[in-house]
Formats: sequence, C-alpha cells, structure tokens
Amino acid sequence: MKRNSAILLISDLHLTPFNVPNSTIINSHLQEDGDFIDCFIDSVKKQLGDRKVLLHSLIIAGDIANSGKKQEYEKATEFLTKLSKELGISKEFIFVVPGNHDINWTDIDSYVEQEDFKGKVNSLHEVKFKKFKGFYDNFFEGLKAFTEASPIVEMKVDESNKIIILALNSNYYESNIKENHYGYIKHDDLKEFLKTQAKVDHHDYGKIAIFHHHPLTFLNETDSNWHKTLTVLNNFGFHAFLHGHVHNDYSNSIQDKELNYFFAVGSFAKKDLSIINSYKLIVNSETENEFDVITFHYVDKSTPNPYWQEQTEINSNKILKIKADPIKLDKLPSVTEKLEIEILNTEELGKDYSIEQYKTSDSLLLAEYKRIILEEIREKKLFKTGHFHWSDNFRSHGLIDIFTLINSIDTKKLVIDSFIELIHSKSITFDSMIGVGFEGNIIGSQLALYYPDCNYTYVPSSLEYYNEFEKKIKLEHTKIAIIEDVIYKADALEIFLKQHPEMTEKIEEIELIALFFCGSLKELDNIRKIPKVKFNFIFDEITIGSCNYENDINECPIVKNNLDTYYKFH
Amino acid sequence: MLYSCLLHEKVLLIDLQCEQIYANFGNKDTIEQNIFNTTSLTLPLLRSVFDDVKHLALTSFDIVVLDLSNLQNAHNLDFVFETLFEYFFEKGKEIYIINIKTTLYDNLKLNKLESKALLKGLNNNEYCLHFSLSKTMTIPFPEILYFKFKLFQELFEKKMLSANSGYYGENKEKLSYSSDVYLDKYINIKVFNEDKPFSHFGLFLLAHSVKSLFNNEKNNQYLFTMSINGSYIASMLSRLLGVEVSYLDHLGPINRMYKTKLDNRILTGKHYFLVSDVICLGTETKKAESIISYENAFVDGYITIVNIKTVTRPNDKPTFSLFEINKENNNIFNYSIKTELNKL
Repeated sequence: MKRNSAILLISDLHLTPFNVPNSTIINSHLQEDGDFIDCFIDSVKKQLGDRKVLLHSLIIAGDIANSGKKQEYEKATEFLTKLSKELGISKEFIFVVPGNHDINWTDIDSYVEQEDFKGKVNSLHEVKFKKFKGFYDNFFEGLKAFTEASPIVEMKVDESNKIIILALNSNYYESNIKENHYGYIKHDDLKEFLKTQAKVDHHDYGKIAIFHHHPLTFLNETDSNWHKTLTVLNNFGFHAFLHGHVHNDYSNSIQDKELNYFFAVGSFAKKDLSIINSYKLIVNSETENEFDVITFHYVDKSTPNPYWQEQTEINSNKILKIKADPIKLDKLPSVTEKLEIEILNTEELGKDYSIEQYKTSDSLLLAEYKRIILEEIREKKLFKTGHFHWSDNFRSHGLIDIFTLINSIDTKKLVIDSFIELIHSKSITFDSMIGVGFEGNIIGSQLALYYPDCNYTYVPSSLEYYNEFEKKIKLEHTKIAIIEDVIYKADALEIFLKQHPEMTEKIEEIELIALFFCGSLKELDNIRKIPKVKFNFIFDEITIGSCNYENDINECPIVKNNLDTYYKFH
Repeated sequence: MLYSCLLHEKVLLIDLQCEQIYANFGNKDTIEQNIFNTTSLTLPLLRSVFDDVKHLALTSFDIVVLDLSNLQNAHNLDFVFETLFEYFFEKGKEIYIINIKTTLYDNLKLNKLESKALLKGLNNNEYCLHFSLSKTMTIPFPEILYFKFKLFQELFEKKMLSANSGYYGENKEKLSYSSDVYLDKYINIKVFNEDKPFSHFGLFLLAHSVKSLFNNEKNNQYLFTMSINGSYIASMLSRLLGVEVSYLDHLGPINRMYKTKLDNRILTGKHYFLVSDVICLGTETKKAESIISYENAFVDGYITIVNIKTVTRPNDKPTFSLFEINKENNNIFNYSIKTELNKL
C-alpha cells in the first residue's frame, strides 16, 4: 500500500435507539444530534491533515441499523453519502458488512407465519437481509451488489496499492431466535471462493478481512467454525482482521503469537455517558505493510463543545500487519555457527545450471503452507548442522529433522496437505504410490488416503540390512508417484531404480515428489536426466552442503582433524 | 471403493463406520477425524456405498450383513438407507442389520422396516434386525454381532496361507535377516499391507480392538515402531486413533539401528505401545522395550498384525493382534522354529 494512506474504521452505528431486552433504551447521537456527524467529519479531516495522509478506504463493520428497518437504512444512506462526499472517498473504497442488527426480525416473523418454513433456509437469508440488501444495492448504485446467503460481501483487489480487502458476512445463522445469536461464516464457500480468486501475483499483497462478529462470539464449542474460518483465511494469506459487534475497542484476548492481528472498534454513536463511542484510523507506518492503529473516543461531557480525542494507551498492541512476515532463512537456528545453508545461487554454481529452468511458481496456498512449515522448523529448531554420515559414500553438512516435523499430528497434516496442494496445483497424475523410508512411508501411507483409487506400497530407503520381502514391491500400474521426505542426490534414486528393474521396465512415468530437495543444482540436473522421472519438490530453496570426500571418510578433514561433531547414521 | 466389503462363503459384509472414516480421510477439508469421533453417517457416503454395491455380482452372495457399529447419527438418510435395504430385499437376500444404536435407529426410521423383519433383537442398547423371505436364520445371534471379526480372520488366514513364503531362496540363501533362528517359512505382512481395502479394514478392526487403551490421556501415549512394515501399520493406526507415532529406524536382532542422538524420539515419562508386523519370539519388541525403559519411559503393550504364540510369557504386557497363531491352529500353518541343534 502506498505511503501516506489511511483506513477509517467504524462499526455498530445503531441508527435508532439501541434497544436490548431487559435493559434501558439507549438513544443515538446520529438521530438526535445534528452536529454529531459534522464533528466526526471534522475530526477525521483534521487527523488526516495533521498526519499528511489520504484516506484510502472507509470500513463499516456492521450493525448499521438497530432493527434492520427501511427508515434506518434511509438515514444510513444519507450518512454514508455525506461521509463519501465530505471525506472525498469514492464508493468503490467504502466497505460495508452486515451485523446481527441488520437483520429484520419482523420480516422473518411474518415470513414464518405465511410460509412453510421447513427446508427453506436459503430463502430465509433473502428474507432477513431484504432491507439491508435494498440499502446496500441502492447505496452502491450498481457498483456492488449484496448476495444474502454468501459469506463474501465483496473482495476488493486494489492493484495500484497492492492491498486486498475481503468483506465477509458472519451472520449465516443469525435470526430472530435467541439460540442463533452467534457468528458463523460459511468457511467451505469462503474457501471455494478464495481458491477461484487466488493468484500467485497476490502473494505479495497486504490483506485485510473484515466482518461483524467478534471471533469469540462465533459458534466454537461444538462446531469450531471460527477455527476453520481462520484456517481458511490464514491459508490464503489473511492475517489482519477488523471487526465490531462487542462495542469496545479490545481484541487482545484473541491475539495469537504475532501471526494474526485483530482489531475491534467500539460503538459509534450511542448516546449514553457510560458508553464510549470510538473510531479507528489505521495509518501507514514507516515499515512496509505495517499500520499504526490510532483510536479516537468521543468526548461529550464538555458539551456544548464535544470532540474526538486520540487515545494513547488503549491497546498494548497498536500495530496491524497486513502481510505475514516472510520467514528468512538466516533466522533458522543452527547448532553451531558453521552453518552451511545456501540459497541456490546460480552464479556460484556456474552457467550450466540455472534454477529458472526447473522452477515453477508455487500456488498461493502452497506458498502459505511452506511459510508455516518453515516457521515450525524455525520454532522447533529442526534445522541441524554438523557432519552427518548417511551412508558409506554420502555425508551432508546439515539435516532437517523430519521425524519431529511428522511426529506431531498437526504438523504431519500440514506436510500432507502441502503434498496434496503440490499434486493438485501441478496436476500431477499417478495410479500407484510408493513411500520411501520410514518418513516417506508415514507421509505416503496417509497421503494415499486422499487418493482412494491409488495403490500404495513402500520400500526402505536403504537396501542394506533389510529382508528381501521388505524390498519387494507390488506393481500393477504404469504411472508411479515416489514419495520421499528429503532428497540430496540423484544417485539415491538411480540405485533405487537399479535395485527395482521392474520399475524401469514396466513404468511409463515416475513422478518423484519430495518435501525437500537439498542437493545442488548439479544434482537436480542429474535427476532430470534419469529416464521417465519427473521431479516435484515442495521446497527446493535450501541447499545443504555435502562432504567432498565421499569415498574415504578418513580423508575428510573435518573427521581427520576432529573439527566438529559427526553423526554416524549407518 | 468399498474398504470393509468382505465377501466370503456367500456372505457380504459391510461396516458403515469403516466406510465413513476412510471417506472422511479422503476429504482434505474434514477436520481431523478418527474412530472416536466419526459417529455420523453422511449422505454422500451412503450414496457412494450404494453405487459400489450395485457393481457387486448378486450371485456371489446370499447373505448381507450391514454392520452399523459405533455410528450414532444419520440425518435425512432414511430414504437412501431404505433404498439400499430394498435393493437387497427385493432380490431375496437374507439381511442382517446389526449393532444399531437407538439414536441411529430413530434417525434411519428403521421402525418402517420392522413389518418385514423376522426378528428384532436388543443387545446392550443396540438393535439388530434380521430379514429372511425363507424364514431361516443362517447365522445365529449373538454370533452375528461379532461376525465381521470371524469373517475377516477366515479371509486373512486364506490370504496369508497363499502369501506364506519360503525362508530360503532357490539356492538356499537366507531371504530374511530378522532372526538368528531358523524358520521354514515367514509370514509376509507386506503382502497384506499392499492389499489396500483389505488391510485398511483390518487396521480399522485392530484400531477398534485397542481403542480402549487410548480413551484417556492421549497426550501421554504414543505408538512406537521399529520396522518398515511396522511404520505403515503404526502410521495408519495413528490416523485411526488420533495418536502420535514415534519410531527408530531400524531395530532388530540382526539389523543395525540408526543412531538418534539428535532426536528426542523417546520421551521420558511417556507411555508407548509397540507396533510391529509379526511377533514371533518377541526379541525385537524386547529390544525396543529395553531402549524405551532406558529413557525412563514405559511400554504399556504390543500391537501387531500376527501374534505367534511361540513361547509362554506369563508376565508379559498385553498384546493385541489381528490374528493369532497358537498350538490350536498351527496345524494349518505348520510354523516351526529351529536352531543350530536341529537345523532345517
């Protein structure tokens, strides 16, 4: 997003008196105080001017009305039109999501009386949002249209500012029944929508999702809808969330380890001295894709001169990051300082080999899986350095501890999901799958569950010390997928194929699919030259150096001079 | 694909929870499911089962057993289920619908079928219905309730006998290095593991037979394996039971073990269940147990596909297996162990 831009966030306008059962009626400044709107506009203009920023967008996070009535929406249209004009913001950049108070209970009651309600849940969405849709479609004058049953209100991709704003409807189950009073986003539909919209180019864009309900008011106990929704949003790169509903400024209870950023905004215009009305100005900070979140409270105790006051200590966390931090490889922990990780570097390896000739872009979802896996590797310190002796003729200067990665049910699922996404995004086809080694077998056996018609078998990674029956494989098909955790060298595959001559004879195509390729570009080129083999790696960005003294360990200066610990794996 | 479809001696058996679980596993978007929390039957699954059933040759079976064990709910599926039932009933098949929980009985509106039933039984708050136009009951109660285990074992025995392999090759070379003793044959569990629907159903049954061990404190319990066959079995069980799996690659009486000084593969104070393909003399599991005990962790039991009761172990930990070879049934396998004293 361009420098000197700001987002204005308001919510819970409640245009008519706020009427909660068994409680006192709270009037609205918007209805009763003619100067309230002007005071707000003046405050926003002043803040923008003082900070020398331009307003990028206006977000209204629901509960525009109090009871979803037509008269309320007429006032809302008037209010928003004035804001648009006075703040100089086009309707394209005004985002409105419905709240639970935008549902018209009277309409539902009369519908249920007239109609056989059973089995017409979808019709109910149209009924409950009839007035809101009328307002929404009318205000946006054909520029935007509201779809009642969809979780998506709109998704705006602002190419020039590299920002995506996703407006969501969290009222799927909200109705006139008390038991239905909770947030719910149709996560399946959301996922399908994002799948169709996701573009690799958007990977670098900042992303903000807005909805009405506070995440803690979602139906969580039995359905965990919020968790599923958050997973979908995270998978597509959304980590910044703005919402309303709870009439206060705090979302701290749901901040989670700097991965996701939540900001609530309080009610806007309740006329009650015990209630704090607020708006938020979200302004570009010095750091790219980071915003300062500034909160303003309405102070009307000093009437007749009410004003909006900036709050300086309202939230401990006032930073909103709209793009997740990239994992930097140099942050990966090392056992020693003698780290030998290299990012593939074509210059160092000579002109004969170029990563570009192999590399294809990751899908947005795969890129996100990779980001999370790298985060796991970093947090759990799974990247090790040292002198690792895998076999008589191969030693590496580092390893990735796949055991720990797939030992946990959650990260194992993440790894398997990343395989599925790689297979899906690259349209890899096969009719049999072979897991290689313990890790390849554990990943492969569970991966094969997603492909019911695919046969599955496994072989040990090393052919030494194994029984004959363990090495044999049943082959019935001609298109094979070989599943491995980490590949360093081409010769491992060559030996494997040599030991299974039936594969090279019978098989038409071998898709080698691995979580990591950690070998050099030269090795990558060697794999490419193996007949019938196509390779697909989830990670090919990390190279782990190997020992040059492959055939005689005693010549290795690290071992000979006792320079470092070496780990003998065989 | 039907995973639980056992077709043997004119009996067709289908376990619908097994089908539901593997269907859920095949859907990336379902949240982590296992045998504990898969209690609802879904419409796509039931339709898919019906489609697959229609491809079975009707002449290959006379008896149909629909096992509904462990399922509790099936919303709006009564019509499809009734259609499935009628498909078999109209063709004169003897039908058993067994292990039906009361909630499921209501959901599927099975009372509608009662007028056609020859028998309605109640066992441990679960209903069973039997339908037979010829008014005969081929498989008696309560044998029918556990019939899937019997049927599976009969098929397993048949398949294992055909997969039994000689211990020595044509030139008398040793084909297996797992033991210092001499075997005239070995049980090839890899052949079983590669038989996809059959092994999946077997592992589903095995998971159910050990599930009582994992009901509580799952965070403290792990599966542990030490062979490539075992890693497949443990991986599948870990998914079915929702528990984590640990391993050492590769442990055995002769095979060498990879050093694992980098890994915390065995966690102090945790409880492990050793998973292997075959337990014969128990040397391999004892070795693993020693290593686990050395790390101040506990071995609570053994899980295996075949348990050969070669020796009596009075103080041993519980062993759960899909199949047992003992002195009563060894006449079928003729499994024998010899040493240098009476070499083959």
